Amino acid sequence: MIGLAAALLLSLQGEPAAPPQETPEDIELLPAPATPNAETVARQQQLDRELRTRRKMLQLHQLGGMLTLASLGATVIFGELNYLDKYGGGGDTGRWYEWHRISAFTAAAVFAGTGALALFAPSPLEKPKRLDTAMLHRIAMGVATAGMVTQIVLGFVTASKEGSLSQRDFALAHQIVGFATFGATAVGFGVLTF
Amino acid sequence: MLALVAVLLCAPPVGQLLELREGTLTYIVVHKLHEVRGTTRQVEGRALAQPDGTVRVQVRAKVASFDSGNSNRDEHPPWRAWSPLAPVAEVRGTLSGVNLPLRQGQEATMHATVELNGEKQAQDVAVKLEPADAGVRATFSFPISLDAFKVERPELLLIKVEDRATISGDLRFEATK
Repeated sequence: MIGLAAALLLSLQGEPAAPPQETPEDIELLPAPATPNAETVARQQQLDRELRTRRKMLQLHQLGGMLTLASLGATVIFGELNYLDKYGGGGDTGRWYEWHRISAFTAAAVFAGTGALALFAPSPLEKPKRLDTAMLHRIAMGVATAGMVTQIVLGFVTASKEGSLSQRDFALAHQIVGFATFGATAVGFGVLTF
Repeated sequence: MLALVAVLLCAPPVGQLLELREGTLTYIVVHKLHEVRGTTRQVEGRALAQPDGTVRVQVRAKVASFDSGNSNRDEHPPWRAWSPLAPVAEVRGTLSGVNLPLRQGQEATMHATVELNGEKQAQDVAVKLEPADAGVRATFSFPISLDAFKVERPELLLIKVEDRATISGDLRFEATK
């Protein structure tokens, strides 16, 4: 009877189970990384939050960069038209003056906002200082910032010299610095695409 | 009896253990305007070659150690899309039909699991093996989908990089003494 029961049990168990197949995930040849403690996890989560904020701010910075380049390009074009109108035999009609003034203020505001997004973005990771495209971008934008400040001052000074012979000289300087500022901005923008 | 069990449990795995001595891992992501290539030499790995020709491999690298030639891109978003909460990229896999020491070069397929951004994906990786000094040189290259690994694809000028990225490696393993 016992033998019969044992035979029945054995027949119900069927084939012996095959050993489990090892998957790549089971391979443990390297020492497992240490489990981070609560303090490390909190620090990593804070770092993650700051990097996400930085990412969003730098995406907006890219959008601002395109708007800066467009508004600065418009300012240069209207400025050139205004210059030709006033000193290039255009009859000094003043038809481009307002266009130039409005586009210049817009460009200055967009430029400042775009720069602020990069300057005030959290920068939680230390990065090595070296000459790379990011550094070239910063150098070019530093030159462009100096140009923008010079242009704002020169623009007001030039406008205040209305009726004076020196106005043309100031206007010429304003024109040259304007081209240089636009050039530096374009370089700063373009260098990031490499 | 207990001592015997302890010895058996602590016994080294059967086969030849190879240590990663040097090598590089490289990722390539493609943007409409340019291609970005990031490389790291800070790679750690081991391989266990078993008498039946099976080789088990584990290789990993810290994501932050990849250098693409642009510090801003490497250290910060938008290019560095990986989370610091998942700081390691890892490949674990098995090759078969590899008998060491190698007499000549051979190709094998590694049935692997790739881990990136805290996500795991199964992947078959074609590996080229060559005898090198006192070990083996392994080179490989395989495509991955960034979306599959839930990597928030980096953008430049509001254009995302392509979903397809390439991971390649050139690693030299040596038998442990």
